[in-house]
Amino acid sequence: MFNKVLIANRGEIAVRIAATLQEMGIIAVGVHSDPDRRAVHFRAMDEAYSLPGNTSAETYLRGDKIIDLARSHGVDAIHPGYGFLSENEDFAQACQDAGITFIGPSPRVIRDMGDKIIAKETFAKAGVPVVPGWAGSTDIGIAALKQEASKIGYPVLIKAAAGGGGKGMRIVNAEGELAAALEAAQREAGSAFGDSRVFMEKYITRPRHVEIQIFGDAHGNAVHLFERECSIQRRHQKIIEESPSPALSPELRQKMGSAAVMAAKAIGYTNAGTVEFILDPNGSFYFLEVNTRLQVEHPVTEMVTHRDLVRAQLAVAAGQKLPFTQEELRQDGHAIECRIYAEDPGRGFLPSIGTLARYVEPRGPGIRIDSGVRQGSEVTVYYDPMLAKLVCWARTRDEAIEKTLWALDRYAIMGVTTNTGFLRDVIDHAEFRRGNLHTHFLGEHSIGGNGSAQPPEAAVIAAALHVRQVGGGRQSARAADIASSTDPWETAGAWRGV
Amino acid sequence: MSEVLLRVSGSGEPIAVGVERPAFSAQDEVRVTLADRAVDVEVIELSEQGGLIRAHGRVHPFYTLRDGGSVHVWMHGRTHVLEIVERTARRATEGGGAAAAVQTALTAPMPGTILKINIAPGDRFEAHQPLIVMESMKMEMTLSAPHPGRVKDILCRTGQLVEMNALLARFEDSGA
Repeated sequence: MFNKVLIANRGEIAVRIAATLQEMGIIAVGVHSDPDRRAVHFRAMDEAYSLPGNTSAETYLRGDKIIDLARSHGVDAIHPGYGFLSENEDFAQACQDAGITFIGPSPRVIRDMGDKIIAKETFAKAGVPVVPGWAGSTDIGIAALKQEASKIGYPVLIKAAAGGGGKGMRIVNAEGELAAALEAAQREAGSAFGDSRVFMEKYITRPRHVEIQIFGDAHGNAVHLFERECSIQRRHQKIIEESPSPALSPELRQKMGSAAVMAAKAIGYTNAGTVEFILDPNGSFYFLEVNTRLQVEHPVTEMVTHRDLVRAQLAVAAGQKLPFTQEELRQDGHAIECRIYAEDPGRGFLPSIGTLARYVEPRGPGIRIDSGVRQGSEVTVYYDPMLAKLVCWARTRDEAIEKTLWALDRYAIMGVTTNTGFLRDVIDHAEFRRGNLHTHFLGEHSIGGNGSAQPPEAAVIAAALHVRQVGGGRQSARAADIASSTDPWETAGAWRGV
Repeated sequence: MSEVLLRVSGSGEPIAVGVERPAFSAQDEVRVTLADRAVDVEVIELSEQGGLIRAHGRVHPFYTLRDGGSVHVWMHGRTHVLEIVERTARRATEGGGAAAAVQTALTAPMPGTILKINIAPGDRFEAHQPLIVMESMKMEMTLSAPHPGRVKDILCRTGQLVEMNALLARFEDSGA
């Protein structure tokens, strides 16, 4: 096993990975940017080294600097976490060339799966159902592209070949919108990924997003750790994930799990990965993409399988066999994860930045919080505004819902606007409780914003007591508020509710 | 009897909350009047950061945060924003709250790059008309007109990197 592992990440995932390393007696080495000098992930490490600069591009994306640090401090392996360098095949290759183990799949697998067009072809060849679509060069011209789109049938979804997180994605409902949508998607993809290639797919209405956690080792073994349902999304990003999915029968679970494992074996997949599917209302599932990393939502799988996925990643990366066989894995109880974001649901989920003047986490049996912040932490414009993940486990889905609501009601975050009230409204919704989920859930049920809620009498009394105690004059204002009454997502067309 | 005037952020009439300590009562009991209705409240803890009160047997832990002229109160999982209405300002604001809706400028809601400017000085625009497209955190956002108006001047150019709250364009005074 490794002696020293560097975590090339920040925030909650860096804290979470460090915990497993330290439990295993491995030295956890962290890196930090200038604004992260006082971050929670810095203090969670055994050793930490500076990446000078503020932006991701200057710091956590500097693979060269990270490898230099690893080499000069005797690091055996690098865990990339999610985001940043986690799906960058050049970085994985550079680690290998420097004699450092990259904790993840091989550079070849990362490259092939990172290209959504190649990934789709690979899975189709392995016999996994894929969404009907078109991929090729857009140089064929708009007339030919219109023909291809009609062949697929509207509505058509344009996606970036190198994409993720909804960037470079557009829904086209009719031929007249195609040219403008293509242009916007290409521009956005080019600026986000440095690769403006796009492809088209049949757009499936009211789909569920169901993904299978896979794991492979270098000895030819591959297993799945069941599914996660991640249908609740805003701006194409997941905010609530759960396992098991309320939509899967044991037969369908078996079918989807086997398809994912079959494909994993076909491509020689090693380490942790996720095969994403869309599931239509008739129970047909289609391959969407592979994420060659540990996912943000991995805790729901850990909670229902009682396995530490980071520990398994380290074992596999060190050349050991998978620590579990398919027969040993069980799905026990139900887990729901909520992503706690510093954002304003009342203003199009615009990120909210500032200082966490109050930060109090709920505690109780079955509640796990993976957090990258504490009271006094700064939420800056430099990084993703996710603060923490609240994961609740219980015997049944209903009980897991009740526990999540209980925990959200006791999660106090002040100084920035967060989505805790919004998450509560979603989870308490009758259709959510019934398990009737799909990726348009938020748009369809128009849950959004809780700014107009009338405060309860006790809150008004509390405010009055505060004013009596502290005085009524203007106090020092915080610089956190974002001053504009415009809703930047409002006119962004395809962003909302997809 | 001392009165505190509070207004739910963004809504109309202020709420007058009277706070007094009744004679011969326990040390931590206060009588609060809300819309001429009296509530007996036991103040178990109270500091700048928050406190704990009990009313009708119900227990209410809370946190408070001061933000300029507002108090943010977190209670039972929600944060409520209450504006402190200054006594002198009361008369002025009672007249009508509609005036606040007019914006005199367009500012950047996030730091980012200006991608496209759809307006020029002197242009008239309709409400919701897309005025400026910018990119922030690798996502495009369209800044639309909050209401009809006319452009006074443009203070940014395409490709420019702007800070949060940077002034991008100014509007003529309404009615101009």
